[in-house]
Amino acid sequence: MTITQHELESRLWDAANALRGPVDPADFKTYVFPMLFWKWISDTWVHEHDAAFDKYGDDLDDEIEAEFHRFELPEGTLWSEVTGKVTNLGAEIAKTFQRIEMANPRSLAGVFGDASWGNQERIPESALLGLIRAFNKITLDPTTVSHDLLGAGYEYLLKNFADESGKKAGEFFTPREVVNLLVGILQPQPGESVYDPSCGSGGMLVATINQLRESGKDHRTLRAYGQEINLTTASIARMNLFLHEIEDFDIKRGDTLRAPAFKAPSGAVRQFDVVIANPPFSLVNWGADRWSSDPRAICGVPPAQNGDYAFVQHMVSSMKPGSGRVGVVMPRGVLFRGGAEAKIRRGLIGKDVLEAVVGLPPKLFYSTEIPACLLIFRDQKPAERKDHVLFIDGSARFIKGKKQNLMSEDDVRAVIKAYQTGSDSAGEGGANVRLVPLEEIEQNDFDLNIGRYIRVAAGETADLGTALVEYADARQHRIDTEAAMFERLAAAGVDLSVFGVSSE
Amino acid sequence: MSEWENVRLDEVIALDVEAVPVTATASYDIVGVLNRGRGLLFREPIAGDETSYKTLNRIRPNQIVYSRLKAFEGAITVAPSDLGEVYASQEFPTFTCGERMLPAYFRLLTTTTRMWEQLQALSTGMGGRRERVKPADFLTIGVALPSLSEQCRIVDVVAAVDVQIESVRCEHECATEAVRRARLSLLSVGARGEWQSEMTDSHTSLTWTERLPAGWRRETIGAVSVVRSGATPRRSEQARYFDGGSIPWVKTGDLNERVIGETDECITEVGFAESSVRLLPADTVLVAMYGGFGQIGRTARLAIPSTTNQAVSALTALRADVIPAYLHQALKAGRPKWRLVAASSRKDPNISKRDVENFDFPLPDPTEQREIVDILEGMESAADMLAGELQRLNAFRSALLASLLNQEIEIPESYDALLEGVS
Repeated sequence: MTITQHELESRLWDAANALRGPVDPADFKTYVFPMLFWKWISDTWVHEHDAAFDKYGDDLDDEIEAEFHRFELPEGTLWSEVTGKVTNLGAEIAKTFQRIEMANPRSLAGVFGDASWGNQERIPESALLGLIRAFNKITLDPTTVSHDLLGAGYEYLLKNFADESGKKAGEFFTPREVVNLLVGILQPQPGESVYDPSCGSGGMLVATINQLRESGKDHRTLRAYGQEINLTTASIARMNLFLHEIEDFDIKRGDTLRAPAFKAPSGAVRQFDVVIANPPFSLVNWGADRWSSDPRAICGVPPAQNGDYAFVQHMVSSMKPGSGRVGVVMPRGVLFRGGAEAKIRRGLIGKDVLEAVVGLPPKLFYSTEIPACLLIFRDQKPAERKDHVLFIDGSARFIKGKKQNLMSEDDVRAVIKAYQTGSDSAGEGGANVRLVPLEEIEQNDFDLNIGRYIRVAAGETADLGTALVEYADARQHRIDTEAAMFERLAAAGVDLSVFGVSSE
Repeated sequence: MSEWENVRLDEVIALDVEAVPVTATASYDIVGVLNRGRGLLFREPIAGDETSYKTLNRIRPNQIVYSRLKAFEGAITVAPSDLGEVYASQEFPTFTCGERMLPAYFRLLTTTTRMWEQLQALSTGMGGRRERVKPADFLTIGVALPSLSEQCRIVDVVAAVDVQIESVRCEHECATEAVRRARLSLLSVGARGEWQSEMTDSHTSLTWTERLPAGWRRETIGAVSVVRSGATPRRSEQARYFDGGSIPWVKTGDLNERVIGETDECITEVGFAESSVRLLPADTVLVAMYGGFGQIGRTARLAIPSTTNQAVSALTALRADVIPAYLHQALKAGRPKWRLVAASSRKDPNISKRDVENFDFPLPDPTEQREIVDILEGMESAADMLAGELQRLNAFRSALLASLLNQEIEIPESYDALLEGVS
């Protein structure tokens, strides 16, 4: 008795809605995902047990039985055994999760996160009971719900929780079209390692898996790695990957910039085939003080008040020689900001690893008004792209939404095609594309603002975010030309002391 | 300190006209020369069979070119080095620089008042009619000639200032656009919601968002204020009504989209008493009703009590819950709407008092009005600073160039290290 995707989604959404009222929608994910995961491993365990019993009957012993189970569920930790309890239900659930994690130390340690189940202030027992009742209506074993289906259901909940959380959603959810675009550009292959240094709920890694599956390739051989600073989000990511049937993955919790969790034996950061991320934009106090001696500062230490180029350089450092490629979502400011960031930008361009700059439409993200961009790096650029950077303006490819804009599948495909062919295949209304030689970028003082190289679609319909980006770029440019002017005036012997500029 | 040689132009440049016979089937890109050394003016191309000229002068890159007719206004320049194939009539003689004169250096000379005055002196003709400047006369002009390397340095320093002028101009433009977008955004979603640009505009249409933020109302100007226009004391009584007057009198040209602290003209007490103008209090919001699309909808707010002429609508006696500065911002945001009203109603593009009264705008509570005004006025003053900086930078450029040309500033040879870095 299988159920349809639509049925599953509506039941899962009903379950989440049982929390509405006493629980802040931004916290729904903290409670719903662990319950969903528990229900799934619990129903699956029962299903596996039945299969074992069918085969061995009374001969079934603990040793044989263990062969049948992916996860060990100690006695008294099954959904049906716990949810019937009438007193201290929250505390019982917390204890159950702890026992399950301890029984599976290698695979499930910390997977349930740190929700305060016993705290009636945060989640009253009535809400918890509502959640349980809703889940009781769904059986989540492999005969009813396939991995694909459950994974899709999980994604559906993530998206809805993001919609409910507004700006806060930026912390755990990247719009799927942006994820698909990045994955489509980087094309991870079976057997490769994929790494997301700010993996959030694991969306990038899951999209990679989905893409392989959809193109008929073996997604299970993919090795997925992620690091995430937020405990709840990190555990959501791990559950996400389990549900998507990935055997070989490792999600670590921690601060990627201060303490990268993946290290090579040499002590340097570990390197991967595909490095992909949507890091928090313009992070302040990200730990610049430790970076002066950090080998990841390949082209310089980013400003203490802005961690954008720390993530970029961390990712480039994590790129495997030869096959390695990097795709990262960044605010547009990284394309033109001055000071230390200009120096780093110049350095990275000089190493000829920056392959493409892709402009995204405005208001795609939950966290910001400002239009973002993708930076694509490649350790070995194809011959025809060496000493060039490919610029793609995808800023007009969107459908206007109420709060957020979105990109259709066609929009995403057109931009991927533009990246692959290096030309505007969609023709009119497509993505504007140009392969720009490094000399031209140098003439523009390594300013990568897309409008300097190709005509950007925005124009008259430009929104506030785009207008602010243009303003910021113009201001930066004025600061740069002013410095150049001062240099010349000083050399010509003009006294600039009134500006506070010394004349040599 | 090197002495600069004084030379006549015919020692360093030479007349070099390439007259090309006009073919009926060809098309010619035509240029003119802007006055006061502001460069070439690119006109529409003409077809060979459309013109009565038998020949046209080809203007080549780096050539000096002037307008014989308008030379007295400083219509002289040096064509850019990347100029395409362009032509002008025979009224535009061209000259080529010899080895001792850099085209880029001569281009600087064409931006100086000294050069314009020399051309004016040559073109002062008889009978009130200006003579054209003849090439032979032009070549008699005397200039001080620095060495080539000194010319290079001067060109380079001024070029750096010119780049900066262009950067500031561009930043000012971007800042102005950002204020405009922010205004549309704030007036459609408020200062407390997330900024969105629900309101879209273009030259042909403008739609305010259908939805208003919670707690906002839609009001009309007529419902929140009294709309009145002013008058003009009879011009025929200039001495009696205007000369020496001290009562500020606003015309549409005074409307600066900001705050008015003084007016171009004032009227006398008698002019005030004997016409139907009225004195408006400070904080009155003004909007232009006549004067073509360039003027219609221009706004300002009075910082001083003032009168106005009949082309200006004054919004007074504001309801207590409307902040004048907010109303002012709402009028600016809605300015494209006038285009529809003015174009649809009558032949002359004017708007009426009734149109102003019917203007509708979104209105939040006074606290939020204040928040919106503070954000926008902050952005406006940032943009205004840039406009001021641009003006002062232009003044600096003129002063710098003068000092370089009269050798008040002599650029040391060490400067050439910068030049080598460039080339």
